[in-house]
Amino acid sequence: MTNESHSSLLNFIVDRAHVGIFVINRDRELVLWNQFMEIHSEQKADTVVGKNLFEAFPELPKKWLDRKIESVYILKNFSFTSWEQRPYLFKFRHNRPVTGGVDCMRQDCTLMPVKDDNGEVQYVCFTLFDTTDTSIYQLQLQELTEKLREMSNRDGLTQLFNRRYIEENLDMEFQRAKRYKHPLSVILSDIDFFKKVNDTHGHLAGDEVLRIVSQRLQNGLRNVDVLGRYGGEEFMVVLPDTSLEGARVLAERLRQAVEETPIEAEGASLNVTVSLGITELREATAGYQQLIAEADTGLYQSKENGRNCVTIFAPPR
Amino acid sequence: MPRIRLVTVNDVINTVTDMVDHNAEVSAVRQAFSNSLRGEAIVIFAQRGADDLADLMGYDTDLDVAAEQELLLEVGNLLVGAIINGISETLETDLSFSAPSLMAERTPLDKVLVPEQLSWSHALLMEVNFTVENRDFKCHLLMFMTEDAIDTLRSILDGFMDDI
Repeated sequence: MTNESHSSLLNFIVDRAHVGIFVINRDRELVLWNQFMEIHSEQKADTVVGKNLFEAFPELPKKWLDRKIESVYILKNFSFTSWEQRPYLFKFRHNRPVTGGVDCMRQDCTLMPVKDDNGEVQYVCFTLFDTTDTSIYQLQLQELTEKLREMSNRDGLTQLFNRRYIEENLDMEFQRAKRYKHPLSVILSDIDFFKKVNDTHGHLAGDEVLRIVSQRLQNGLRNVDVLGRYGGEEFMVVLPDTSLEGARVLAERLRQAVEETPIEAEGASLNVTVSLGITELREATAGYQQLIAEADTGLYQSKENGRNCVTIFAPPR
Repeated sequence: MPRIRLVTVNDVINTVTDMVDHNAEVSAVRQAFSNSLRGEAIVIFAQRGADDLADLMGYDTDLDVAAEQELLLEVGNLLVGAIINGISETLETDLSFSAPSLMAERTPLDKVLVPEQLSWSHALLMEVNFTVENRDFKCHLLMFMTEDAIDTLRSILDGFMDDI
């Protein structure tokens, strides 16, 4: 290939590549503006070449970009901008007007020093990449991740938090309460004679009872309280900044809320009650597991005492 | 003075925590360089310094999250460019740089690199650290070159020594 045809090939490629390419000199005057830039800016090279970049495109973030350009001249180093922090330099339309969901073309940009024979920077060459597709995928991925995170914390049947989440939450609240010397209480609750519901009225009725009881418990709580399904028919409530007396009042309210109205399931009207056990954080509490064990002891006492009641765990003297 | 060590994938985390010498949270920017020298540079910012960066760089207003990230990338790019261009000029080679990206934000130092995700066994690690006088700013630049790149480096160095 002759030099001449080689350079005309290069010119052609620079002009037609599906990447924005433009070049400015030290005075920020445009010396090259390729077809990608022409099409998306709707400004022909003839009209912008020779003009000051910031005069031709007053919408550019001048103060910031000018500083960036100057750094390329002084440090003789590449410089970059990313759509993730700065969605675009030029407000261009993108190729996904229908399926996009973003307002304009997302762009990554590279500022490359073009040096002369003495190693001094003569021009700054910009390459501008359309990252709209990437940004859309990333957005979808973020939404999906968020959804999965939410799902991984929930119990499918009751939509309450699952055991893993509620234990993590209790551990966190335990650490916090211990550090700041705040009160912390825990309620464990179990549906009375649940096995009988399943055996007599079937699993669908059992599921419905679990759902309704979950709702009633949830409605009885404050925003800061965290309710989870701890086991089959067992529920845990973590009560931050709540003393034992406060927890007792709340537990009693929950007990009544479940008992008050019969639950309609699979054509039957079922009188459902719950037993509850409570404990609170004390100086000597070793870990969150101890809180669970104590609340469970309280719950066991409630079952022993005839069910449908609240028992406060009594620490050994 | 830069410190240079040969690390294996198993001791890379210990070496890095040893070099960087603090176990608080950090933010990190990575950037690839390629051509005759090939590898990746990681700039690790102590979190307190990263939080102070806007002030240090002369921004008078509070920056939003994106602007703070952008600043971190900018400074990372600047330091990587300064160090690696210095090396490449000495060796008379010309390098190309990838865009910098954030690899960790407010992350414990020993979680920045995940050995299970690293596909090399040995790498050459060079560390340079930067502090700003009278300021609470500290950062470390780690330059990694993997085995295949070390051979290239050796031949460039041989050429360089022959020319002296």
